[in-house]
Amino acid sequence: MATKLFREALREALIEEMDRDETVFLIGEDIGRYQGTFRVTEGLFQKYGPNRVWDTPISEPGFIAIAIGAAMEGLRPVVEVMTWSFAFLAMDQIVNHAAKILYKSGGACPVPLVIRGPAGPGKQLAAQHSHSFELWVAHSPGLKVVLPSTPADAKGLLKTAIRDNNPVMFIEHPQLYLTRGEVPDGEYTIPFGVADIKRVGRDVSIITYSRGVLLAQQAAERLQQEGIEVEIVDLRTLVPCDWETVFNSVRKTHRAIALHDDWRYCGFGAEIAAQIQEQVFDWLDAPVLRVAGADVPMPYNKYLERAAYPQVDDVIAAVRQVLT
Amino acid sequence: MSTRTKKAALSKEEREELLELYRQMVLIRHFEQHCDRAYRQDKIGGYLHLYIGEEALAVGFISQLQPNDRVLGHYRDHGYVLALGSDPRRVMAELYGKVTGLCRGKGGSMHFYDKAHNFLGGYAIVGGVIGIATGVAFSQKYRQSDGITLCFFGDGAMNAGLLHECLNMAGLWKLPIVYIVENNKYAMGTPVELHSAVTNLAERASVYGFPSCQIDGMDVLKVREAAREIIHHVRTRREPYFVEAITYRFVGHGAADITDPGSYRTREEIEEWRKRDPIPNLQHYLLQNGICTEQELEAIDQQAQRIVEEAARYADESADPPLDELWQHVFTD
Amino acid sequence: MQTVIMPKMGDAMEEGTLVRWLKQEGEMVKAGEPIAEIATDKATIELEAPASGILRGIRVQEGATVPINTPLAYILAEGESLPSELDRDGKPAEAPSTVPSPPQSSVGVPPQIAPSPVPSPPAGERAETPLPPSAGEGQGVRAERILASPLARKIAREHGIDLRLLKGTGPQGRIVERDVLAYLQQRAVQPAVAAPAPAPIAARTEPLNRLRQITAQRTTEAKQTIPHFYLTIEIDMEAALALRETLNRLEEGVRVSVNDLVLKACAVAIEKHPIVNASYRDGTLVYADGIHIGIAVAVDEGLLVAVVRHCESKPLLRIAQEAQTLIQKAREGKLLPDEMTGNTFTVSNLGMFDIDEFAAIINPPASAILAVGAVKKVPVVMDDGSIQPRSRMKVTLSCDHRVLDGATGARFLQELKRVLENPVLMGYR
Repeated sequence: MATKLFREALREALIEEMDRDETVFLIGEDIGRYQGTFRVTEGLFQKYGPNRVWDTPISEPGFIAIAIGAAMEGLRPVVEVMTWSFAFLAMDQIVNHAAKILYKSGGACPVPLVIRGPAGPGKQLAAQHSHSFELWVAHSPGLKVVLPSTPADAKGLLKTAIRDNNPVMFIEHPQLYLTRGEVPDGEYTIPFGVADIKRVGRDVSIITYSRGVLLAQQAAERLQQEGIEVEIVDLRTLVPCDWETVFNSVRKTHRAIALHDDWRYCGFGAEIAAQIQEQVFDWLDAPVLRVAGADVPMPYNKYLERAAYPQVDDVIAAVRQVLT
Repeated sequence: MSTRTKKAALSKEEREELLELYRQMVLIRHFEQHCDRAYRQDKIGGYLHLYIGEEALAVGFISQLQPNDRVLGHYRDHGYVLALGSDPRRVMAELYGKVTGLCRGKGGSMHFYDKAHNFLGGYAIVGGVIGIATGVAFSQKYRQSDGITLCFFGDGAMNAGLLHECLNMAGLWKLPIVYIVENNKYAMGTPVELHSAVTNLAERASVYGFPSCQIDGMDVLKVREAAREIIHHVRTRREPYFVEAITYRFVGHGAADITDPGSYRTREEIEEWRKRDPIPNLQHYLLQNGICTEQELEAIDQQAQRIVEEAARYADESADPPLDELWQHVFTD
Repeated sequence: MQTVIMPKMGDAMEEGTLVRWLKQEGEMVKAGEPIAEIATDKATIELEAPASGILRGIRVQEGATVPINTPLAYILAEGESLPSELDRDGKPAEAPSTVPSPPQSSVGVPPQIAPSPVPSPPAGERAETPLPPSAGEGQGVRAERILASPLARKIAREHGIDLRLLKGTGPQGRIVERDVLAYLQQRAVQPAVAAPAPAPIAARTEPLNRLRQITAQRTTEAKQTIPHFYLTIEIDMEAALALRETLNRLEEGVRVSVNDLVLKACAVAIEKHPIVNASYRDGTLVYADGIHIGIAVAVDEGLLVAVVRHCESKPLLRIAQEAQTLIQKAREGKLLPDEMTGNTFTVSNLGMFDIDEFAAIINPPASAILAVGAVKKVPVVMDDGSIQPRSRMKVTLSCDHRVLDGATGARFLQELKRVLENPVLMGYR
């Protein structure tokens, strides 16, 4: 097993799937000749040529719609959005078309589409480039939503996404691209709807995904020195979501914290809290807490920005509170 | 009406083609008239947009297609599937919301889909079809197929940003697609003069590096002629084409449109356009040129009525989808 | 327009039940005339009209329990009409802002000197208890909420533990898992304390009445939180009985009971040993403003405590009179809240049931209770060695060890014995 960067793991998944299946192609802004804003598609245009790697105009609704139409005809487009913040332009294509075509055709027309790209704060990109995006898509039936936290998960999940016959929203955190982790050698995929216990603990469950997993791990290391054992449940896919693993963890620890960068108000943490109280109410020994982004547009100033989304101390404070 | 008066004897195939155009237009007309009645009886719900007056467009263009070609449309989509040969019973059943419908009763009037007959969907967001259809044409290019895509939409969609994004990419990438704007003069109730800075829509679409033209959409023979040339161009040159078809709907925007006529257009205007009704005009042409007899046309008309009655009976007798259908088809395996 | 509100009838009262309306919507009422019957925790009283006029806008239905200050109805002057927003034709309504709203919270209400109808947690601990229902939803019956986590509730349910027996250590005093587990562990260590025998097969069950619930709650709490110890002494009652006999013979209209003698003697003894009159609160000793002796009274529904106030300044006959009136009112359910609260000492007498002696549970905030047995003729070895039949009575003092020690309690009992055996020490007028 070799250690690889998160973005290298993604690239490996793209290469393996493009080699395996000629219907897989990449489309997006500056992914070919420019090789991608975060260099995920580095070298792929040179390797596969213009019929497999399509540089587009800056027309998110247009090229996402084109990918949907191509997917309806059995191709497997992998769209890169330069950032998911730009996908707002294409919400009609994503929510009102991609998510609905199978259903409104009575099951006759699958849309095997992947849209992937970065979403999340932390690069001082200010108000219009820093959105977390999972909620906007997880709320709509018909879209699968994937948020990997490690290079190994990123590769296995992206391969699954490309082989899935449904629209898959694959959301990468920009702070993760240069993280490094062990990636299994050879062919493997990771199924959707299977959460991963990234750390076993008995005192409190932190239910999270994407960057939240790293944050939770840092908090857990520090809390361990005080004898507090944190369990980290990495959901990995929000749709479908592995609630049973969440519930089992809460049955064990009796305390839960939902953690994400996304805004707190109506964020996925609210769904986590609701699911837990509906299903394992009797196992709770404390209210489910949320650690999440401040409900403000992302400020540019780096100190304000840091204050606007969860940091390790916030997680530790929440753990202490829930253990009171 | 066409002044084409070729007296030269038609071959059997040519004659049959002309009768088939007539047959399809009459079928669509009867079908749509029945839909209007069924809507009043609450057998059809939701929004219902009828194609009455515009039949020549679907019939004329679709008559020139080959098996690898695809058609996508907007929400006024009954004419396309009927012209493509979808079973009228399943089309009507879909309108009645029945499980035997094209989409198991889950799509309705605005969301037909019949892949077996190359119809890849009606789309209910104005302009939405343009993006999807461009993607379908993209797949034809990607696969190097000889197929082409017909993309029908209304003049209201001319002002959707997506149209211009897609025309640009289709031009850039030389996609085999025919964009057909059915300019029926009104975006719902807003006349083209009030929604388009340049009222010549073909001209508006002429800047993306591929040809565009205007045609008379009320004359099925002219439509067929233009379609033959345009589709041939797209199929062989592998580049897009933009067609502005001038047409007119004789009924309201939707079946629930009770302010028409009177609010945004006059009864006189409708009467004026009715003189160009494509069905009587083709009838006139066929009789004038001795291509068929009145009895033959009458028989076609009665046959169409029988088909529609049978479709209505089938739809009536079909079952509603079972309730567990609610949860099916959100995802597929 | 005058608003008729649920009145606060005593310090401890937080809510009251409207038993029935004595006047109907639209009826003329006179100021001071009873218009409704109201039940508090322990008594039913008549609610008097605050003004003369027409009763309108009845907004609390019979049987509903509402917080104090909740508007119940309005009294309009002649010609005055009810503002439309209040006119709900007798149906419960949102309280308009012009009407006094119920107290926003019980936060900061100091622990009661008097027994409160519900256990009062220490100040501050209820910061997050649900606010009293806002006006409008005030008419529903409000159940006492025990703060406990779902998990704590589940474990308690599985082990048949009454959560009211537990003290929460979580935020806002919430009972959490560790509290229940600790209780279970303790129960396992001291099986005699609480290990419940397998429950007998119930022939039938019935809910506790309100009074029983309160008794259950308060005795449980008292027995669990107060370190009790017990002292018993035997008192020669010959002289006291002689005094009683004389008084009952000479004074018309008065019947002095043995219990009255005990009450007065207690008051006299307490004056000498004021610590017995003190109570324990949050690490301090609180001395009361007078000697208010509660009398435990058995009524059909359960147990009530009627309080004779300022026994230190009242002669025996007055105490006897008051005690008699209070006991009568208690049996009729007509005690006013202030007549049931604020005792600084309690006397419980089971002599009439021929009980020799027993130990009672302290009724906080008092720190001692005297359990009085029957006066019996027994053979007594006298100082001169002779054996004589004497009327003797055993009393047992239950003491709060946080306030009283064995010796203090004993000295008090000695004084009590001295007074009863030499009743001239009580005076009687």
